[in-house]
Amino acid sequence: MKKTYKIEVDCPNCAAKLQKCAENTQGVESCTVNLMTQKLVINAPAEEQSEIIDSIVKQMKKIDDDVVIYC
Amino acid sequence: MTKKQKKNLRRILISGALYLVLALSSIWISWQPVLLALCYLAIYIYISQDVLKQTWKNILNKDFMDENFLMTIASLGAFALGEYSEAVAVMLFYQVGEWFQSYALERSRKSISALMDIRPEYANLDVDGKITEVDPEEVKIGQTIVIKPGERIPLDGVVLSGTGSIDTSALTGESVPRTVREGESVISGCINQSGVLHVRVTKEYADSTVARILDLVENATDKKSRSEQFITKFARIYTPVVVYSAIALAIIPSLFTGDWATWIYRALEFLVISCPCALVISVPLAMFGGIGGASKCGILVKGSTYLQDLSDVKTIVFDKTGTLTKGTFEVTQVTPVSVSSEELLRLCARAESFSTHPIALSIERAAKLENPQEGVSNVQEVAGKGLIANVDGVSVAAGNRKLMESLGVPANDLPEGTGFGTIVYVAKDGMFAGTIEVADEPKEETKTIVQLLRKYGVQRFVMLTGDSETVAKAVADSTGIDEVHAQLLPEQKVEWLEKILADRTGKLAYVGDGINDAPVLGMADVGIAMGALGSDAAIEAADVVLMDDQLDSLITAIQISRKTMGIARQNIVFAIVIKVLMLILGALGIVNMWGAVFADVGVSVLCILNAMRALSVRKFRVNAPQLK
Repeated sequence: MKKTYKIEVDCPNCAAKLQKCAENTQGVESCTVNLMTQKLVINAPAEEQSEIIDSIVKQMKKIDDDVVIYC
Repeated sequence: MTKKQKKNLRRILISGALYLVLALSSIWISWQPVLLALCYLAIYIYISQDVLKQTWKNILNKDFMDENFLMTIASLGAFALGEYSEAVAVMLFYQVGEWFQSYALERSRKSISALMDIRPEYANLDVDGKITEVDPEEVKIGQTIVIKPGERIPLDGVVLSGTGSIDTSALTGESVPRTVREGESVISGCINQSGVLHVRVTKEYADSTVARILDLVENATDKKSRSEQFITKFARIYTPVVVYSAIALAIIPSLFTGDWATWIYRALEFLVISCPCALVISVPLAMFGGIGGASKCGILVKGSTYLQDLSDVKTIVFDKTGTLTKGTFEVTQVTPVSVSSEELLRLCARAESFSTHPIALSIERAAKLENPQEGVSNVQEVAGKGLIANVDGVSVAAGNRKLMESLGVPANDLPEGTGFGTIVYVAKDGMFAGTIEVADEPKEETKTIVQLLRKYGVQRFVMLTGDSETVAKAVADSTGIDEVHAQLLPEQKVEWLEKILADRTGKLAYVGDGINDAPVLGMADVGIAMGALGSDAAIEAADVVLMDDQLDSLITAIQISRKTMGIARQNIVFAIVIKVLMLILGALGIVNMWGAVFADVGVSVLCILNAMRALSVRKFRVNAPQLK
């Protein structure tokens, strides 16, 4: 299942970091970070979605706390 | 302005003011060197806290080769060399630049998004005459909604009552409003300009035209073009190379000259100049602008990669019916033998008045009769031949040669047609009365468009059609298409396209209407569907969707792609040339730290402004005099 989250990312570098982080999160089948439309799309099993996004938010705090994810 | 931008702006203003006071006061007051250094350090920490924190995080994550790292080393290095004022100034200027960049990016993003904002905010749901405003997502199929003048149509449906004038420009780019009446279907996303419409909903919001189009455009930037991929790869190699060069620049000349301070300073400058931000941001933004501009003209591009391919199209394969031709049959010639031509047309139209065959409908349209079915009885369909009916007590037969021959008309009496269309032979009371020729004519603009496309560098034009050889040849000759493959079944179209794909130069575009050519649309480098408004299959299968059915849009699409790619190329070249130039000047010591910071953020902002040009595009029209 694909789920879309609104994000606030203002540089391509941060977007790339978020992309890498999301890709490496357990359970994520595929993901896209769109800097232009400010969206993060996670493709993962429906029941794992909330767990995955929590883990991404936590990871991103460590990597770059300018990235805001609304969930 | 976002929260972060506001916070940063405040920080920039405060530290800028403090910096000015400190710098000016040191002209009149002789500060204690240690005190002065501490004051500068305080401002430095205040203005660069984000950058320092981020650099630290990056080092912890072992992924630190980015602009934060470059700026941290450069400014800390300046401190180490005793250039306190300069260290603060560089960081301050960098923050100003970053702020501008972030602001410009946000503004551009917003203006593009505003362009694509066709999302309906509410629907007026009518339940037993009581009207309530609800979220379009809550409306179910079969319910009735009311659209008042000036409102956006929230869901696809059929008009139950009322007449309205509908502005479809948000979807098609077409500015002439369309009139809709009872029984006609309306598409969500359009604006009702006048009249109140009661509409029965036929699709839920998620399946409606507006939701599908929004989804498509918003996800368009996911499919990255080759230029964008190049830039991402480039930046990944670039930063480490620059860092090592800077280290070399600091050490090697110093070993020979012994002047460590000068060369370390130059190495720091080198680092500041080298930030690849302009490159990384400007190309995707230009692409995004191009896609936004295209959607304003009623052209949906499903990814920037297709925008790039479109600019390099050398072969175009067309479907015939509905693409090169009007897709509707029209009476082109009436040749009577024993009656007047009006009489011939009238007889035939009445005899065929119960038929729904496209040819029969076209004859009916041409005859313009008030009540064609009156006085017509005993209609017999003769399979594969035509029909015979009783019109005002007289037997009238309309059909092909075989029908005439079966009625006993000598074959020699039957004339051949011009080859362009289909010939309907008419017999009255068993006697041959004349012929009516019906054809699907090429659109008026087709020939001009083909000529224009040649000017745009398209070398090979191919037509693939299921229609007969003679009709296909006639259409090709009159429109300037040089290669025709006729009488093809859908799978043969695929085979032919494979052959053409194998020996193409440049990119291949396939233009069709999305009806029964979905596999071919998918196979081409760029699959272009025309007249796709409301056709789900076409929107699904194509890479580029032209919302209206005019070939002019094909030219618009190519113009937009050329312009966008031009801008992207300008940005790449501009950014690289300025950077390399400044790197050399910095290494030679000609440019100071200020110039270095300009080279970084100035170039970015200029590239963003240039990228915004991709947004301003105009719909191309063959008949528009100012464009000729």
